[in-house]
Amino acid sequence: MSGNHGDILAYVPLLVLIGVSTAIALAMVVGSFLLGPKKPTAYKATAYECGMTPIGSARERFPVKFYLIAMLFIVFDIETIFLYPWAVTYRAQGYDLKIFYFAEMLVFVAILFVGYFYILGRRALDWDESERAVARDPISPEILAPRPPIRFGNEKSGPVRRLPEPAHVPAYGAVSQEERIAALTSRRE
Amino acid sequence: MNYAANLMSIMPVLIVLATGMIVLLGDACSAQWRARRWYTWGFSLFGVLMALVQAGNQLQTQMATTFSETAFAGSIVTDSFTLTCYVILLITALLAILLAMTYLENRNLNLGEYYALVLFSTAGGMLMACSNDLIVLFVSVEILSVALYVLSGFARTEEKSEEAALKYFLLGAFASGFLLYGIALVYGGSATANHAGTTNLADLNLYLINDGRPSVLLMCGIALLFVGLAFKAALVPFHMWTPDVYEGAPTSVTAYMAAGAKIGAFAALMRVCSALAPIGEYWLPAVQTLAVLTMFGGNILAVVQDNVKRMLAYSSIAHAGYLLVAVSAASVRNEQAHNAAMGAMAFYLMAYAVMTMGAFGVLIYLSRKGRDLQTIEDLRGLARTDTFAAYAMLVFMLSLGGIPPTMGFMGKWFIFSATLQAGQVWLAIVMALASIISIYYYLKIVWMMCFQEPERPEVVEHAVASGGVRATIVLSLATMLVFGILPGALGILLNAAETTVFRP
Amino acid sequence: MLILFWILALTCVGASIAMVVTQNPVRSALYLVITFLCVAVFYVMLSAQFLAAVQIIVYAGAIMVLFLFVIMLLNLGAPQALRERGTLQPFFAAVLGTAFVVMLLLSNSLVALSKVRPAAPPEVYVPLGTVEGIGKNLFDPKQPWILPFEITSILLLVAIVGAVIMAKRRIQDHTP
Repeated sequence: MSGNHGDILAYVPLLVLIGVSTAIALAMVVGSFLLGPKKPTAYKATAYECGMTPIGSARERFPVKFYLIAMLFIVFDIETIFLYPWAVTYRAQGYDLKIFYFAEMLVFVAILFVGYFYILGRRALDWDESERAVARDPISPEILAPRPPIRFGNEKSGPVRRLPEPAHVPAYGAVSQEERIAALTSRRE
Repeated sequence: MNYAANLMSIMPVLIVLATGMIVLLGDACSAQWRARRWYTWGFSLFGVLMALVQAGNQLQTQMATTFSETAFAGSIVTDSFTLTCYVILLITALLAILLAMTYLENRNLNLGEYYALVLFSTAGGMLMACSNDLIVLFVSVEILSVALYVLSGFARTEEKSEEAALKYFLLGAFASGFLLYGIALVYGGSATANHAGTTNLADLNLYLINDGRPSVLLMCGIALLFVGLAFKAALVPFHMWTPDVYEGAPTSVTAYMAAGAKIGAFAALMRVCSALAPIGEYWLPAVQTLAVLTMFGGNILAVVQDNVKRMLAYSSIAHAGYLLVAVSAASVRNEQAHNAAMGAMAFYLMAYAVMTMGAFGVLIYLSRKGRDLQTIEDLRGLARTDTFAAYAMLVFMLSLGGIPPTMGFMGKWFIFSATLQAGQVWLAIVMALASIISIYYYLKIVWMMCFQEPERPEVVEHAVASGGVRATIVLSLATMLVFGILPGALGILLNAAETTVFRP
Repeated sequence: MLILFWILALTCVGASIAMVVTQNPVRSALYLVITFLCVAVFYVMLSAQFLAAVQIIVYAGAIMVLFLFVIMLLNLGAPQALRERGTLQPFFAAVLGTAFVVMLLLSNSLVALSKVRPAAPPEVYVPLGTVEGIGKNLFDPKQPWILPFEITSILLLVAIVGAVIMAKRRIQDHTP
């Protein structure tokens, strides 16, 4: 805790900031608790959800898709972490070393790009996984031609009933909400 | 040393990695590639063969010069032990690809990722074998393990496979934590007044030779390091995951996992132990205890299994015990015994890889559409219904049990004599006793196949049997018998590995 | 500085213990955030500023979100259901953990007592832990960290493949 740690002093303002922000937050909570009038009604006691009436439990099950995207995010997050010290030191290098640095990071990023194109190829970032969505939204006909789903032998036998393909479903914002609903419901028939 | 020479020294690894990436991208992104299904395995096989040729070439040059060179500022070392491990790992990967070709299709798992992951984990194992720095060792252990976690859950819709992946992952992550903590403590414990700590194995070796007595911190580090590696190699107190994972994973993955992961783990263990050899008296008893526990634990638990995959899992644990005996023999300060043990270990790793892949190959050959072969009962009367499979299995079982005209026997014999040379007579005797126990359950399978009447005498059509699986079985059989009868033919491998990693 | 260290150390250990004993998984995760933050401050105190930033960005940020996702994904229901009874595991874990801590303390005191001291702080202060320091060491061809750095990208690639294989519901197959 002693010796050559003079730069630690640079963190004192940060500490002060943390202290002040904690104090303000605490003051607000304690202040409203002490000063505010308390007239609880049944409606006030319910959880606040942007003005909507809360429906059901908050312990909802999340779809696994969130998890996949979070996982992929972390991988690229870590990549960025490596880019940061590289970017800071790159300029200070001589010409030869700059080329070396550049090549080094190029290889690193290229390998992760393989992963990125793999993700695109497997459509791992697509939210809507239904066959219809896959057919409607090809990122590139070469990379992502529609393919039949993998069969695991446990599907119900018999032909899969498919919804008829709509002529055109307008995107959000392109038309009014009523027209869109009309377009979507017309497909059901 | 210029950059090109650095890259050349790990050329086989680079070839494997590049192949893996091309297979991954091609399968996911190219329509032409997808239209021709054999591209995936064809290209993987081609890449592994290329790497094998390259590794063989390097091995030849290496043996002419018996020169061990470091690369990447000392973080890796390319000596004949490294290259021998490369060759063995690449052969394992080759067999794993051959085994998978139709098996995956049959179980509706035919995704190109399988091949890419096998290639990546092979590269991880190869990097483990060449690592001269604990940081490289850690990252490559992780590459190997993460790929294996995914592979063991590759049958995505089956609960057992998912369970296997989850168990393996959780326990594996825990073991990686131990390994990393161990590395940190070794780094701290090897610090002196003059220089900061080191994670470089050669520096560590030098430090131990010069400074002699290790600090308690260093001992803690070494202990944690061993725990981490023991988990990866499935040694007895850390083996709990093995049977469940081996049973749940798709069989071709199990075969690869049993061979590939073990080779990588033992290569790494050998590197660490060689570096720590100057203070052998501190940790050798622990390794020997582990060896005894592993040999007996694996063999005794294997006796009571009636699921073939579980039985082979426990048998692989027992084999890890024999390999640990070789590690113990290689850690004495007697150069002759050290060299003999290194050679014996390389030979045994080769034998173990081939016979395990062969035995699992027979299981794949016998599995029916959508269902793996499970219990020993399923093998009843196999000699009547499928002579080829039965006799192939017979040879693999004899070899695993260490019965004479096979490679398994020669491997055990080499380890046995190296242990005697190292003066660890009691360990050699324990090893012999343990292998006697093992003969019981290997012969149980032989008895079930050859001396029992089949339930249904008609010949069963095996859906999975294909060129790839047959080729694996035949290749393994040939290797098993040729090198069992003429171990000298593999002398090249033996001599190659005999050069010391660090002179004790 | 020493006072700050002790306050943080007690908070850190306390939060870790609270994390283990709390029944509610979400609360456990939040205690873990406190531990992460304390560790980040320790990194700063050890002049490893970059590591501190990484600790907050990656661990307290991204990985904690992932933790909460998993807790929600599992949808564990009533926290009491998680309770485990009748195993000796906690007991053994406590015994072994204590033994390890005692061993480490012993080693530290032995290091302090013995003549061989751990590396003394260098005369000239070299900022190793700053972003710049890390960059200079990590990418320098004379340092042995190039290969670990490059193969880290392979590890990340394998992780990507693993995430897709494990969590993607439908993977399109080859056209037969």
